[in-house]
Amino acid sequence: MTTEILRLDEVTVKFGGLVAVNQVSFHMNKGEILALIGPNGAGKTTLFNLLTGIYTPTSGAVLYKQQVVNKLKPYKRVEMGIARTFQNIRLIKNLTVLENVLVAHQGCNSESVWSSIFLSKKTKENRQAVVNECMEVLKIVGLESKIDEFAGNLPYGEQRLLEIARAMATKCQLLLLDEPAAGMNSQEKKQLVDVIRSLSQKYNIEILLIEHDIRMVMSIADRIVVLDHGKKITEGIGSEVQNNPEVIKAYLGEDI
Amino acid sequence: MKRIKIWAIPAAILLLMLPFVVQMFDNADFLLRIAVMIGIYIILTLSLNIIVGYAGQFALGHAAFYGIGAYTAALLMVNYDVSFWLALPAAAIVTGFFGFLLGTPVMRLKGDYLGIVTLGFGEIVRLIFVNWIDLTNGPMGIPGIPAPSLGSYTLGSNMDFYYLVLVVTVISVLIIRRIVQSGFGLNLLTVREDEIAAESIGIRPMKYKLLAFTIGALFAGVAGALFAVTAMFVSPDSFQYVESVNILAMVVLGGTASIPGSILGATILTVAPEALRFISDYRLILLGLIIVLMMVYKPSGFWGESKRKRNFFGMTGR
Repeated sequence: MTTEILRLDEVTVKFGGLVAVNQVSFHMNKGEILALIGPNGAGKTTLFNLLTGIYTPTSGAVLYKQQVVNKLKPYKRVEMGIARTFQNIRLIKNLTVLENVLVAHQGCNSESVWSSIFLSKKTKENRQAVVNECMEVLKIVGLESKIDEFAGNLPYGEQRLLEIARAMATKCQLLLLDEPAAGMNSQEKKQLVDVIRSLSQKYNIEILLIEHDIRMVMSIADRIVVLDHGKKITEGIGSEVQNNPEVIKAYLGEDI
Repeated sequence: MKRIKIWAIPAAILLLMLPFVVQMFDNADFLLRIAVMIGIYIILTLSLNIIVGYAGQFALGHAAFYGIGAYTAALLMVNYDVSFWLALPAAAIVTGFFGFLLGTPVMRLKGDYLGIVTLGFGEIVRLIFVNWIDLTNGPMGIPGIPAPSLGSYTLGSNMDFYYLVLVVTVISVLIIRRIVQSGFGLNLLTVREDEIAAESIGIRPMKYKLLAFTIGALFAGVAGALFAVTAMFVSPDSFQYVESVNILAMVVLGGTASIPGSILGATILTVAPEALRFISDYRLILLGLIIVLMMVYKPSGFWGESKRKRNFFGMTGR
């Protein structure tokens, strides 16, 4: 039996009269890479914000590790192991590459003001351990040689990778990637696919990604969930979804 | 890894010798008094820089915390004969507590709104100093604050005050430096830049903003206690709205989120009005003009954040 990590149960999100997500249900298994696709305005990002706690569902339930997390604040969910990247990159531009990853690390956040003031040997060792772990994540995304640069000075593709590294530094179990390949060239996309694969294998985490590049989705996703107008129209493995008439209709429109 | 910077030793010698150099001038006491005020303003500027520079909270009522610290120390020393060495930490803690109290509701506000509320807080505190005559002696102020004593020696002269302020300022600068060059400092910068991103990586913006506000208030309390004991007199006039603006100008002129910047800003803006005394009536106009020009041509201040040490958190093993 596969273990279930995340389950959405008939989740609905309404903004006034607009139904952004309409009774969507799906689940994610341990170690799975799940892709969420759909035309613009299908409710993919709303669903992401729901999972990270920026929105709460109007009805239905979000279960993470068999716990209802409907109303947990974002930082609480990070503690539980859910981390994300953003569609429009939200790095701290005037922190360095390394610092951007450091701030996401629990060991950096939990240092008390007293121990910062006295800066004992133990505190220094703790800091060293935190830095080492962050360097490890940076090595996976291939940014270890750029740690002294300000995040804002990185090229676009590397900023995306840095955001993934930052999310990983929270020691997440479920990684949500919101259009990680947007604006990347084919070379960068290839690198990104390798990074996502190696993260999935090395840490055995679950990855949920929103992506428009169908070829990329087909190559890395174990399963695909298709949304349109807030509803789930189908889910399944790559070829099933690709040939589903409903999906073709959603993307290309109907025959005249 | 202990490397003392080359300039640190001559700077230390200069600071220690300064009172003796100053004795050569006729107005030695006046010059020492300015030096004392520079020290006090350095602490004030750094404490406000934690709130404005690092946490990015536009607070306009810093004189209130300065005043609370000064009055706490003054009242404890005059009414209860508490020694200065106890009154100083007590003033810091009381002021820090007020910072926490004000911060709890106010940290939910942003930008201009926060500015207005803290401005109001500053005025309320000043009006309490003026009107609660039983406690604060009203506009007359509290005179006769006793000089601190060290063993059997009483620190009574301006030279003694200079060394007292020098020691407390240096310790404060070192503590604040440790506080901001830490995970806490990085988190503050993250919260300042992007609260949504901060939350997405497990940082609670409220907690860090509140902590910054409390620590900022606490050090303002230290500065207040130093002021009370070196001036030997406190009155509401010293803690008016212009004082808050003055401290804010020091932060901005020196450079936000920068410790050398705060030291520079405090020094320049304390010395400049005195140095410009010869043009009497026009000095404030000239000072205002300098600040405006500075902001137009160098908005990051004399020593802004761009000069900060990168990756201060730990060694990267290269």
